[in-house]
Amino acid sequence: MKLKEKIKIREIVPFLSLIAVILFFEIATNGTLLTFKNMKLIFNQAFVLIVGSVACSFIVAQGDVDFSMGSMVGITAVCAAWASHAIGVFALPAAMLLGAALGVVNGILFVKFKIPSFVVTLSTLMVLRGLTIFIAGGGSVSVPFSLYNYDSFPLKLTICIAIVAAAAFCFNHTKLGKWSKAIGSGITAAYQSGVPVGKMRLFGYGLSAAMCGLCGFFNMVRAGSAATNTGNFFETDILIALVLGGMPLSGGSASKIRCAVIGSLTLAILLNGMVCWNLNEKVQQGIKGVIFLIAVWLTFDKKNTSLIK
Amino acid sequence: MKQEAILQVNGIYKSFGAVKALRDVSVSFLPGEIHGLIGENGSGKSTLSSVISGIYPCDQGEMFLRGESYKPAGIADGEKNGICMIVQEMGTIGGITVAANIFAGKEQLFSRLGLVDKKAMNRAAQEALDKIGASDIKAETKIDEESFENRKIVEIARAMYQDVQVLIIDETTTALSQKGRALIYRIMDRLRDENKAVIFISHDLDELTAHCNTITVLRDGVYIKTLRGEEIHPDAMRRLMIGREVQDNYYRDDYGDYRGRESVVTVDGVSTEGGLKDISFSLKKGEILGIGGLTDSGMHDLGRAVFGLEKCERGGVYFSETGEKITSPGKAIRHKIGYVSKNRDKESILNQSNIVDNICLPSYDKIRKGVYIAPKAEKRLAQQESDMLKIKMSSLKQLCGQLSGGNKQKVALAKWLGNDSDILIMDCPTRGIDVGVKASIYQLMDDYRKAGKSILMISEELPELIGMSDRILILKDGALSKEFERSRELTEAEAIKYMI
Repeated sequence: MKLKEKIKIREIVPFLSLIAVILFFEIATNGTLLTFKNMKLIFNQAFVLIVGSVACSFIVAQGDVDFSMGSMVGITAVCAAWASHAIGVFALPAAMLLGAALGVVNGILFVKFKIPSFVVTLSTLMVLRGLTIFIAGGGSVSVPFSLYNYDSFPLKLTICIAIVAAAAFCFNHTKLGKWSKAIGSGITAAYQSGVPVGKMRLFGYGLSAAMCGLCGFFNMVRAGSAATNTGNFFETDILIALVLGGMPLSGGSASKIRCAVIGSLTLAILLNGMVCWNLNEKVQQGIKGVIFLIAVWLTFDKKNTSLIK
Repeated sequence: MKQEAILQVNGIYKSFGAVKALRDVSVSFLPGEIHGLIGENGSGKSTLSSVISGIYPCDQGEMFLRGESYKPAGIADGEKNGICMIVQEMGTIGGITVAANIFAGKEQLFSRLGLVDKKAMNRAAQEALDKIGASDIKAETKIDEESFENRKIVEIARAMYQDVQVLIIDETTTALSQKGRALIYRIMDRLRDENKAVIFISHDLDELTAHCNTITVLRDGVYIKTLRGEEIHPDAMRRLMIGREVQDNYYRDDYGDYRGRESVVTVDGVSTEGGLKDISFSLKKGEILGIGGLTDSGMHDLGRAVFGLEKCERGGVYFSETGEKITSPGKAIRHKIGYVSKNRDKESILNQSNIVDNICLPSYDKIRKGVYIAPKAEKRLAQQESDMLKIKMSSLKQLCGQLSGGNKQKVALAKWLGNDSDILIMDCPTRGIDVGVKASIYQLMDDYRKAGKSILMISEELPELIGMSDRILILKDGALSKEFERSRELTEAEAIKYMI
């Protein structure tokens, strides 16, 4: 009985913290938080977080992480900015394809060369950032005016809903999701039950990076340019969002797309709220770190995790 | 006649959440007793021994060690009091030497100026190993280089190094070959002669009859009865454990000519890095093909190789009909082969997932419509298979980790039956499983065979091999040493001859 109650509490903590964050900043900022104008700002921030965290849910469900997401966003944004002068909006699929290809490289290094995934993705994080700086020539690459139209609220909202719906469907009702969760629950048993572990890993990293391409494109059209620092710290933000949403970082059957969405919203509101509250930027970084710690401490199931690994 | 007990357990209660694992259990362990503790899976025998050894505290009740109140604060505290336990699963620490394992936590015995005197420690460890008759294990080797069996023996040496009052052996023998078992039996006899007590947990009733002088039966967490001397008999034990009469013979009873059937899987000259040497045989339609041998004879590797888990250096495993080579589990499963591993918790079950997810895992291609896997279809398949196998569970949503060993094994089987497998590779299918479930698994295997499907059964239990197989292949040092046809006359002694 006790155990059941505990599980339920862990499931509702993310909801409660989302509500708490909204209430706190609504009061602290004297109501600016929930004005329509500000909510649009929050959505703009939440959009990339939701797309990114939902996309990497598959790899997280497998019990792995993708630390290269920040640089994936950076390099796809810069390349898309270059390309957009020639091919216009087709820079979007191009960015996603580039992302997917780079993601598959992550996957191959992990699967074929058997290098631990966090080492692989940390390395590509650094390598790709360097490459981004090289391509951008140390400055920024501008975007043609015609593309500014794509920074539109209805368009992004539609894309966001479509991605979340598709991901939730795949995660819960197709082999892609079920196999990912099985790998996180017990990789040996999953392999012996016919789960193609190597292919699923390639898929996971490919998907995560392809969606970084999408994020890169929308980052670029929003900023009007892509710079060497585009996407910096995206990977840590995603990690914080996932943990805030209650996603188990050890993966497995407790993973849910819901966690990614709720966590992204919580983080976006938190970041926005701190700006509205006129907090010093350096203090904001510190608070983010502290919140990450607390979230891990609250949602991390110490007992069960030691059981798995 | 009334002796003072070494260990007296009075009115022990222990619950895990809503599950009452022990209810008012009282047992006395007298000097010179080899005290068998028996009961079906989930009857509370492991819980009781864990409470005694100090792994977890009891909720209520008290224990007395040589008349004095005994409340172990943990497993180390239990050891200090002379109560040692050898557990079912791995209890050694990887990455260090055999000697370091034997003296883990007791390094101060050999410390000189704060440094551990490795030589002295190795010497003492070797003495400890020699003392229990395991001189073939060298104290200075890395524990990881030793076989599962030898690692168990190292654990025993560790336990025996100190002044043991009560030695608890929890289902250890099922994982050992004849050699390891003989060693354990010798130690048990010695402790008995020294007027110490041994608590011996096993599912093997013949083994219990042969070695114990006292047997206590538990059922559903309740003390049932203690049998002594003449009262100890497999039939009596079985009756008390299950609470009703069961048939004595649960193996199949048909004997006949099984030659001339078509082959389904051909193993052709397989050699592997793991030590299999040029093995060839074929698995026939509708047969149970038994594979026997010592633990390290390569028989477990052979099962893995047939399922595509081992890389063949030479030769290969082929589907007889198409001649296609089996190179991965995925390929094997597509051709309707299922594999039930010996290592249940790590390799055949997802403990953190529920029963539905576990049963459906290999069958998504069977139940999906397009890409969509309907929750209803999953539930239907899981319900159907768990009903057929009579899996004891609170609901289909229960996590598999909460099931007892026998029920986990049933889930592992349900997976492959749900997938309509035509060929099953079963590695130690009844390891650590109580008689009730054992009988139902044998029945299932027999039905499966009669339906024209094939089973490759790898087993360390000779009675099971002889009782269930159409043919038996004996492996020795990675090579085939003998093939037996099914026969009433085949004895264990005859089979063992080709194993060692």
